[in-house]
Parts: sequence; structure tokens; C-alpha cells
Amino acid sequence: MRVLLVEDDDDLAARIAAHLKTENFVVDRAANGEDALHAGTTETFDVAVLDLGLPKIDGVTVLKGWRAQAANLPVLVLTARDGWPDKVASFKAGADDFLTKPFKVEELVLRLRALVRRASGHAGAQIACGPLIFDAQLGTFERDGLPLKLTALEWRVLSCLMLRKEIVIDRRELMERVYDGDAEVDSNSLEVIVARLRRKIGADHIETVRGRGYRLTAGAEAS
Amino acid sequence: MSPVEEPATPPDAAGQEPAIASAQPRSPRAGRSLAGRLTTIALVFVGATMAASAGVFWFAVSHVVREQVDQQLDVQITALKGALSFDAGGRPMLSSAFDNPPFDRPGWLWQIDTPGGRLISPPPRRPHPPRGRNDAEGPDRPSAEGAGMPVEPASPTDAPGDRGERPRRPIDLAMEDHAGPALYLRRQDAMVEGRSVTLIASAPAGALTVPARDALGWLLPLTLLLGLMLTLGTLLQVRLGLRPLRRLTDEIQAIERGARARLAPAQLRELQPLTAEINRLLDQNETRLAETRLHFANLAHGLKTPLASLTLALDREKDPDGALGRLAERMEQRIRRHLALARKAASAAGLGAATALAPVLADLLALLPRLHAGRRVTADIAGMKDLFLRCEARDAEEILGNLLDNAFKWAASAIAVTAAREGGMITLLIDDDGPGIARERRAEVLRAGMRLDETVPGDGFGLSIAEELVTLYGGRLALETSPLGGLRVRLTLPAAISGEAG
Repeated sequence: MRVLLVEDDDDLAARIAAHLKTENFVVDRAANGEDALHAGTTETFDVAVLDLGLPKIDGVTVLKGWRAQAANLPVLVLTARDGWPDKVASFKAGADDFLTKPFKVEELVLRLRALVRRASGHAGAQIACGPLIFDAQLGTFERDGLPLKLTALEWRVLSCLMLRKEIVIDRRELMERVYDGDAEVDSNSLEVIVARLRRKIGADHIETVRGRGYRLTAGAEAS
Repeated sequence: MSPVEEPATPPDAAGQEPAIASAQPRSPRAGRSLAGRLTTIALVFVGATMAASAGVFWFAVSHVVREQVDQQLDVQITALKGALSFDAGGRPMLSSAFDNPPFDRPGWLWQIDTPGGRLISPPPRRPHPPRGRNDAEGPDRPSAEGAGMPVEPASPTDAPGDRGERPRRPIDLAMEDHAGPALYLRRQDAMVEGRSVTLIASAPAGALTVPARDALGWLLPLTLLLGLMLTLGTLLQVRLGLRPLRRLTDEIQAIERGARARLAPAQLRELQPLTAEINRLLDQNETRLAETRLHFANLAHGLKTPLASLTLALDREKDPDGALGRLAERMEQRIRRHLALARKAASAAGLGAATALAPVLADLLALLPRLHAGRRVTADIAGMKDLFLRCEARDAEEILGNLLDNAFKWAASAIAVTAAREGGMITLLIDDDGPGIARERRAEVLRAGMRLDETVPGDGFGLSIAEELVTLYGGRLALETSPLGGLRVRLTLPAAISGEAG
């Protein structure tokens, strides 16, 4: 899951980013409204965390700009302003959730996961596909009722496929959602990760659609 | 369950009365009016002018009339003097009769006193009995043929008892002791044939006053007519002259109740500085409010962002027993309360604005279910489209947001919102089916915002902020028991007439 973190306070942004990474999020940061507006409309994110009090362009304007340019990623507004007019303005501009500073980072993670899950069209917290169950709220995988141990990259790939099960995901899009900018793509190329995942969950659950990408499926009997 | 089962007023509500009063619209019983002042002054002036002119007229007419009478009397006296002679015995006699008009009428008399006796005018031929007397017609006094009637100076009576009960005796003009109407006298002392004589001629006092009174008879209505026209003119002048002021007052009231944003530029030179200044003050107020709000937003950002960093930095290693975390939490709560109170201070109460209730409610009711899942809301928002709050939009959002958030927070499953206009107020009922608030705790909940060092996390704080804002706007917030089983918040806010505010 790739998140765009828009926060002008470096210290806070670094702490949030660090924490989100431990929760298997891929974090891109923007420190001002201009960068945020650009990033949100040109790159692919699963979710955005947006501060309202930003330099250059304020948060509500950034949000309106995203929505005006059809960037329909779910947005959580994370702000120090807790007045209702700010909440109303944020939601009218297209926000999906609102969290006021200071906050518990666990709550931020839960809300971000919920936003991503709902944006993918899943109403319930648990998503099942064949023998696999993904708790999108807690971020855990089970296979045949047993916890599945995954590396961070494996988790990212599988959660991404899981949220869009039975749908072909473009290879490049998948890579965008999985890799940090500085990640070592070589040793952990997408093919390698997919191969490892196939070993863990069963080879027939991840289909390779040549020239396009990958698809997670419940299996031959289900499709 | 009766909707008005108790007043549910916080005990300190009385202490906030002045705030309510100041937020009320200007009272219509504003003592004296400019129109009244102008009218009164003009009427006093018109009245005084009328009285003075009537007086002057009266004086002029009386003067002219008196001159005429004097002239008549003097002519008579001169004629009498010329006709007076004395016989051998020294008794006075006149060469001709002196009953020429007007000396043939009552009150027009003459008298000549000489050492040898007295001559008086003959009785009137057609006597006009003086008012109040009903004597039969006929000569009042025994007539003397021809010349003036000689009378003994000391004659005690004259034909006693032969006519009525009152003795008729000639009037002694020198003494003027008679029972008839008052007389106006002219007298002249002269020497005739070496004898000193006194000639007196009289006219009835009425001869002086009646013509003047007659003149007043047409003068007075004329003056009154003049006064009436002046009064009408004054009223018209006050009415038309003060119309721009009344229009200005109407516009100010329209701003107050939120029906318009600024005053129209004045057409009159005298009013231009006033309207310009009022508009400037309104602009300034708005700018300052925006600046203050921005300042508070920045303050919130500046304080809460490092606090958020601090909270994130505290993990199990650095804060094993959670003490530091609790400290950060207390800091957060104080900051939240102070900022909420500061926001309240930066409310636009009293500036005048109209906010449509329906869209605010629609926004909030679209937003809140996302923050609190699993709640069902019933609200007839379409039915509220004619309801306008006399309240700035941001403040309306703050008030309703806090109240609805509280309802969503506590509701088990259902929230109901109803609104109705009652006279100049809009009453909004927010019901939930949550646990409610115990009757004895309700006042305390509304007061929570006042007591800053109390640490009730979140609980009811929104209610107290809403209550304070509502009070600033001259409204009321009451906590009751809901028919749904939980809390009913009864919010009363002044209604705005229309929503054309800019």
C-alpha cells in the first residue's frame, strides 16, 4: 500500500513515515502544497494523509485540486484544526476521513487501512480468496486458518492483489504500489516476489497475464 | 413524555443574561424619536407664533377702535361745550338737543357738571336693554323736552316706585355708579362763560371690545387655519426629511438580522460619511475576524504538530509506565480547550449574518456517519429549507457539529433531528437513543468548558462549547430526556428573516 504523506513539519512527517513503514506502507512525502498537488495528480497512491496548514497551497485547496483533476484516491485529513467548519470544509472538498493532531499512530494506521479497503470496494474488514483470508483492518493474512508469514515486500504485493482479487493488476502499477523509491529492485524484482508468494499460497492462485500483469484468483474451480 | 418536562437551565445561566441581552435586536422602545423632537419643536414654534400674531392683531384692532370711539366722544364733548350756555340764574342750558347717533343708544351718554347744576343726556329713544336686564321697552327716564335735562345735583330719587322695584336715576358719570354695563369715559374740564365746567362723554365699554372681538371672530379661525397648514407642513417635512434616516435604520437592522451585508451608499451628502464609516467598520470587523481565526488556526498547528511528534516519539522503551503519554494527553486537552474558547471569542456573534439551516445540516449529516459508523439518522432536511439562522455559517457549523457529533458519539443506533420556527426563534431538537445524561449532571456538562483544569476526556466538552456560542448568539441550549430514550438537546437560536446575506 502506497501512501502520500503531506506534512510540512519534518519531524512529525519522519516519525509518521517511519511508523507507517513498519506497518508495510510505502510512504512518499510531500512537505508543501505545491508538491502535494503535483504528486497526487501524477503518481499512483492507495491513500493520502493530508495536513491542512501547508506552505504555498493550503490543504483544502490541494484536495480540491486533486478532485478537480480526477485524482480519486482516498484522503485522510490530518490536522491541528479541530473546529467543525474545518471538518465540513475538508469533507466538502472531498476528504474521506478526518483525524486531529495529536493522535495515536495506531489509529492512523487503522483508518488508512479502512480507507484503502473501502476504496477497493470491500465493506467488511476480512477479504477472502480461496484458502486465503486477509484482515484488511489488522493487516494479517491467513491460509487455511493459519497465520501466513510474509516479508514486507511480499505483504505489499499480496495485499495489493488481495484488495483487487480476480482483477488483473498492471505490472507497473503494482510496482509503484510496492516499491519505495530507494528499494533494491534487483534482488527483489517483482517476479522473484511473486514466485516466493506462489510457493507460500499455492501456485495457481496468482496468474500471470502476459503483457499486462498479475491476477489473484480463488483458483481454477472458482473462476 | 412531555417535551417540556423541565427547564434544564444551567444554574449560571442567570449570570450570562447580559450577553443574551446584548445579542438581542435593538429594542423597539427606544425612548424619544428625532421625528417627535422635530415635530414638537415646530409645533411649539407654530403655537407661539400664532399666539403672538393673535395678540398683535388684537392690540392693533383695539387701538384703532379706541381711537374711533375717542374721536366720537371728543366731537360730542366739543359740541356740548359749544352749545353750553347759562341762564340768568347760572343754570346750565344747551342750545340744541344732543341725541344724535350714537348718543341715542344705551351707554352713549354725556354729562355736564357746572356750579349751577348738571345736565345729562336724554334717555335713549330705542333703548337696548343691557344684557341681563329684562326691562320692558319704554323710556327709562322721564324725558325733558328739548334741551338737556336739568337735574338737581343732590336729587335723592327720581319718580320713586312708579316703575319696577329698581329706582331709575340718572347715571352719575363722574362717579360712574350704575348697575348697567361698564362705561368708557372721556372727560374735559373747561371754562365756559367764566364758569368751570366738567364735560364727560361715555361710550359703553362694549363699543371698544365688541368690534375687536368681532375681528377676533374671523382672525382666530384664520390663524388656526394658518397654524394647521404650518403643522401639516412640519409633519410632511419631518416625514419626508427623515426618510433617508429611516431607510438607513432599516438597512442597519437588515444587516443585524443578516438580510444584507453592507449599507447602500448614501444619496445624501450629510449621510455619506456615516454610511461609509459603518461599512468601513463592518469590513474591518470582518477582516479582523478572519485574521484572528487564521491566527488561531496557526496557533493550533504550531502547538499540536510538535505535540503529535512527541506522542509518536513515546514508545514503550521511552515511556514504560505511560506517564509521559498521559502528560502529553493532558497538554493536548488544555490546548484543545483553550483553542476552542479562543475560537468562541472569535465568533461572529453580533455581526449579523443569515445562514440557511438545511445545507449546514445536510453537510454535517453527510459527514458524521463517516466518523461514526452504524448510526441511522432521521431528519427532514427538505422541510427545513425555509429556516434561516441569524448566525454566521462557521459558528452554525461549530454549534451543530458539536451537538450532532455528541449525539452520534452516544447514540446506540438512531439519531433524529427536527427543526421548527417559533416566532423569531428556530428550535432544533436533536434526539439520540444513547444512555443520555443524568438530570443532575446536565448543568455540569454544559459548564465543562468553563472549568479548564477538570480532566473529563472529551466528554461533553463539545456541548459546553456549543452552549457558549449559542449564548453569544442570544439563543439557548437545554438538555432533556429524549423520547428515543437518550439525550434530547433543545437548541433555540434567533431566526433570520431571509438568506440574502453576502
